[in-house]
Amino acid sequence: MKHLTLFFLFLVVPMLAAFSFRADQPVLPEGGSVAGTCTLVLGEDEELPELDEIAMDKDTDICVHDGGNTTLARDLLVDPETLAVTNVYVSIEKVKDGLDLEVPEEPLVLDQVACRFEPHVSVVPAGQTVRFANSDDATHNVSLTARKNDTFNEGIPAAKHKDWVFKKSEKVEIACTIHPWMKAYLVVTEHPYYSLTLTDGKFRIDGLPAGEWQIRAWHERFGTFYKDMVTVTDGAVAEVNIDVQEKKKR
Amino acid sequence: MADPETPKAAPDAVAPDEAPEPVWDHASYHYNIPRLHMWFTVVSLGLLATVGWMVVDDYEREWKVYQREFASLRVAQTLAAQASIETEDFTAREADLSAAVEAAQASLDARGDELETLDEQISVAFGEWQNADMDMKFAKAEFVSYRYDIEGAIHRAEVDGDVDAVAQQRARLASLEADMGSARAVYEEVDARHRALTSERAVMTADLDTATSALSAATRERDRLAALAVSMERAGPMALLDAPMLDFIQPSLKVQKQVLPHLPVNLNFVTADRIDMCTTCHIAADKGGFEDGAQPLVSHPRLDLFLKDGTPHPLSATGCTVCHDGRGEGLSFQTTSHTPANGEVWEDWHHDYGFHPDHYWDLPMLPLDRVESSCYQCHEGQIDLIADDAPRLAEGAYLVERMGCWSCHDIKGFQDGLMRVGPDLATIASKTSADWIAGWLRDPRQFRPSTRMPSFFHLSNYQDEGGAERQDVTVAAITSFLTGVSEMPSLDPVPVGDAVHGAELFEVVGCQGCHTAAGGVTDADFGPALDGVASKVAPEYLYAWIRDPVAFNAETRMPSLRLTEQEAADIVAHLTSDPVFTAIPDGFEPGVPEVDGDLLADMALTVLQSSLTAEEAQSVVADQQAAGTLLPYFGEKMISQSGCFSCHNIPGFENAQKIGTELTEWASKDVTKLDFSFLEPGVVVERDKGEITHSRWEWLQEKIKDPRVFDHGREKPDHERLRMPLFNLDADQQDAIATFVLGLKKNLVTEQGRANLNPEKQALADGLAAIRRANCQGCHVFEEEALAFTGSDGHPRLLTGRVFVDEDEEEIWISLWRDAQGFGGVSQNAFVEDLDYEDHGEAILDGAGPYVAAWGGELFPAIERAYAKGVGGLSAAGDKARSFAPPVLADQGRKTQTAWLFEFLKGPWSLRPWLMARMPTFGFTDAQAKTIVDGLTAMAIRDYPRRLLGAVQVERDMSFEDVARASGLHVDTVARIASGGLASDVAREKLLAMCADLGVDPDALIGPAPALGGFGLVDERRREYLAAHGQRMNAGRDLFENEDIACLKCHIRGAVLPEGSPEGWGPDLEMASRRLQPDWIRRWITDPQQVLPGTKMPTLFPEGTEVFQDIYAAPRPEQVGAIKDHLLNLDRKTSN
Repeated sequence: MKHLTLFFLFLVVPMLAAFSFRADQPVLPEGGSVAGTCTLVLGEDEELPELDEIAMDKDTDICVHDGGNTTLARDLLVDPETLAVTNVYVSIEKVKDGLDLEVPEEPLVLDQVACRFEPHVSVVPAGQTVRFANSDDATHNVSLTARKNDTFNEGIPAAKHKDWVFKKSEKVEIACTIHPWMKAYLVVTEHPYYSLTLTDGKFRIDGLPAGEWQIRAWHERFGTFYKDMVTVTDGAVAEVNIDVQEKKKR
Repeated sequence: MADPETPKAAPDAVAPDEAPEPVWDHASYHYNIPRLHMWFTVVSLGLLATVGWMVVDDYEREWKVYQREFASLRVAQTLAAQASIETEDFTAREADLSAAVEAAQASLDARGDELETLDEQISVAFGEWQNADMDMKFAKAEFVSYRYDIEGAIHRAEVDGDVDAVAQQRARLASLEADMGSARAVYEEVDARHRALTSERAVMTADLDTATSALSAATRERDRLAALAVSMERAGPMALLDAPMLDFIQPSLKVQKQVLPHLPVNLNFVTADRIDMCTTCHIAADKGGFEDGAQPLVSHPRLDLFLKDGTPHPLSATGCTVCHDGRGEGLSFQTTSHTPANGEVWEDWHHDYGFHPDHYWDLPMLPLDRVESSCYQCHEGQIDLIADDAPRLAEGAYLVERMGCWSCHDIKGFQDGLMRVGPDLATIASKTSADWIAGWLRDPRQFRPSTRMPSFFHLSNYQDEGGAERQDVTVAAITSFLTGVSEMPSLDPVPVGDAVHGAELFEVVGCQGCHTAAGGVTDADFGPALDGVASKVAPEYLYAWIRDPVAFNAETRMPSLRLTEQEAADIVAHLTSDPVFTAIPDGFEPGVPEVDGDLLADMALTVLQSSLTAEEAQSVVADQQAAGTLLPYFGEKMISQSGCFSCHNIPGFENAQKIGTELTEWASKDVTKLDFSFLEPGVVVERDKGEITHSRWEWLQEKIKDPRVFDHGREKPDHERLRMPLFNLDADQQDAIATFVLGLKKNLVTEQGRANLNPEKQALADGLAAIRRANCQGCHVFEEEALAFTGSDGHPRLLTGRVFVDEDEEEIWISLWRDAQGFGGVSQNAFVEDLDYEDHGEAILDGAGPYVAAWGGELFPAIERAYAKGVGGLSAAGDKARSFAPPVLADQGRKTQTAWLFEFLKGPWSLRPWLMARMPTFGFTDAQAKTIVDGLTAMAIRDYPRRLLGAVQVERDMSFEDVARASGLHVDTVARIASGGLASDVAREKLLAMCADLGVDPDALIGPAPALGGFGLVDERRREYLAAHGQRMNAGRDLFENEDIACLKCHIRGAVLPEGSPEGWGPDLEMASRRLQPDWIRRWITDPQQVLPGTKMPTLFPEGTEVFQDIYAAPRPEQVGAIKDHLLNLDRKTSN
């Protein structure tokens, strides 16, 4: 106990002091912001694609959605009025002298409910525990398609869960191979500058130091379909509206 | 005053101022003695000079100069190595250690008196010890010798009944024994005292001893190198041994000689032992460290494969000229028959060494890029085994096989098991039209640019006047004959097909594992490209053919896909509707040429007159003309002359002889017997020197490039002109074939000299060839893709696994399929730091640079493309489509049971009903099926050392150097095994011995070593096993049936299908008992991702956790074992 106190006094306090008095540190967390809307681009005469109806033809007593054994795919959720796209992951990359990533202590829960993953797309800071849970009364499994992070494919019996920690930025596809229609995505991030669109397709990223940074957008259907540069100034919101569409071929 | 040479004669008569004329007494002297002496002096001096010249010349011989230069290079190398050890750190450490020694010595010196006293005591005690030891030994000797004496005496006394004598002798023996005992007691006391004193001394000197041994351990390698450098320098008196005139005693400069009776040479009518002295000059060849040296003092490449002891080709057993050719007994540049690489080198050599080709040596040295051809002498029939190390030779051998060179040219080893390379022409008329045949014959490449059919007509030796017209007549004649003799089988009409379904089938059922077409995604070239196929082949013929190709042509390599009539009709509907297949390819001109009757008669007459009288010939022509059959008659003659029947079955030519030169010993043919025609400098062939060198390889190269080139400048009638057709080969392929043919030497290698393979390697060689010939790799992956690069440790690395380039983050990643130290274990993802994205990212994305494509799986891109769009209601993006592709066979030899696989290969059925890709029926014979089964096992045996090495390296974090040190293998050998190089038996044993030393159990690490055979029942099904494991078996059933494990949720069991759509299913578990190897099941259930990274089978018993203990309370291996036992008996259990 005594040692800890000494350690704190001699090391941590001066460090904190030094840190907080650094003159060149940008004024954070105010900084600048980037915000905008993600809208789907439709070609001439092109109609809004309909979502596939998936037959849940296994464990039919449990895999029930809206009273039936079918569910709509969630791979491209678009507001039919505004064409705003849900689940677009927008991020500002390679920011220098930015904020540290906050890693929550409590786990992020990715549940399997009525043979669907909930939520369908989620973002997890690298280092935060992800709890793959199973609320169904049937065995599921979780199969990761990760190319950078450690990966696994394990059975998760009813009411059990598995904890896992991701360390590298990556878009991980999650599937239950017992129920082949079950899919979800987990975006692992190593920095705090991201936003995941909701049904209004809007995103907003705050606390950015002034400068010119790269903005990217990713969607499960299109991959990283958008890359551009954005100029951030302190105290201002740079507006970027993103067209969601097929990536240009390399 | 007196001239000694002047005879004494009348001194008085000599005038005082005038010397008398010498007077020669011819009776005493026949010669003028002074002159004689003068000549003698001259001759002696001349002789002396000559001897001097001889000595100098001998001292300055080429090879001695090289060896002296090499000696100093080696000294320099050793000193450099020594210097590289002596870094600052090293010197500092050495100084520390020396200081420690000195300190220890000093502290000991301080106790000098004490030590001296102790030494004296030890010395006294040692004297006493010696005495006591001697006394004890004497006492013992006396006792033993007396006992020996009396044994006989006692026996005799007992017989005689002399009791007293016996008692007396026994008493004496007892007293001797007592003496021995007391002597021993004295010895033990003295010995203990001596030991105590010496250990006391050891305690005193302990510090010094430790310090000294630490110093010598640290400096051992440096000291060894220093001593080596000194011994190599041959300085001081030793230098005299290499001095002129004295170097006959024991010189260090010596002729190096390898005598190789098992690799004899033919010296015109005499077969003699091969003697190679090449290393006399090329003295660095078998030594490492001179890779950057200049010839001749340069290391041979690939010392892990060549020259060094312990490699497959040690210098002492292989020599040089068996591979390089040339004159091995020569000791100078000119007399060894060197060959320059090109004209520039030629001129340099001519300038530097007075080089000129040696016309008297039959086998001049092969140019370096042709040396591979020599491998064939000892490795005939093992091409697939040496393909990695002799890629050009192997490519040549494959091409000779695929292009059908062997059809016209006899080549030993190219008859058995090979099928004709061209289609059967007995039914050609029902397959296609006369117009198409004629168009095709005129120029096959206009219809199909990738065709293997060579061009026969309008080649370089028919560019004379009228040549084109005559060739057209020949084309028309052959067409006429072929359509005439063709039988017309009755063909079923094609039912109405569904072209959309046909297109799906065409994409995924397996067609594209062998065939490609414009707009297709595969590079498959085993079968012909199918562009325009429907413009050629009648739909009825296509329909009949794809249902059962073998019924049409017993020699076709196309297997049956067991298509139903409807499926076949659907595919035909697709082929006859998609423009890729229906359009006539651009530039192709079908149509039979017009024939000028007079020209035809003329040509027929000329040909006939070569075997008939003029009158007979004329009457034959007249008869044929009258019957209107001259055209097909002439066509038959032309087929006979062109050798079409070699590759195609043609009615009437079943027993025709091959028309080409036998090639079996072609490369031993005298160069003087090759017809170079009038090819003169600068006439036709562009060479470095603007001329064709009269050598075998240049002749071959030109012959393959333009088979008619040696008709240049000749005036010949058509039927005497060269007739070898022009093959569709690029420059590399031409080169490869030339390399192969150059290896076809008159083979004198003895049985002992050949590469004699053990059964596993033979099975591997045969299996690889069989797999290649059946094109299994068109559909199955045998080796996953990989990245090849030089690692930061300086060694070549080959990382096998799924390669992934992250374009956003600009990083290169790999999902490992094999353990690789520094990167991780199977199924782990590794960032490949050694490959910079800037330099390699694009190349890898383009499938180039360090990217190594998978071996096999040519069908995969087609499947990926099809399932990206969706097939039969199922779809999967990118990689995911792989679950709809034919299974990966990377480790098949450890997966399936041999008997089952044999049966499956002979008559396959659907194992995975959800796959549209279908294993075809090949109609393998028993022998072929067994060769493939054994080959797959042999591949697993081949991979065992690599697998073991990788696993041990990862487990113990050992670099290649660590393994080299621990195993005694050369570090390059270790690196090569890790990169998939074939490990020798010795290397395998050394790795196993290393595991034993390290305390690693290979079986626990990677499973038991695979072995050939194993056609029997698995242990788990034997009665004794069942009796012994009954309880565990029940636990296995409980686990199997538990709803949290739920095997049958996905797996088929006999007739019971799982719920849901087939894409989520797994194979029938009742097949497991006969299909799968027990250890594979064990590994699979333990961790499926380790066996097949990315599989959809989940891990049920994660490592480090305790699960399902309520069902079967046992450690994980026992639980897995229980399920394995249950599965292996599942088919005979009733499920209730």
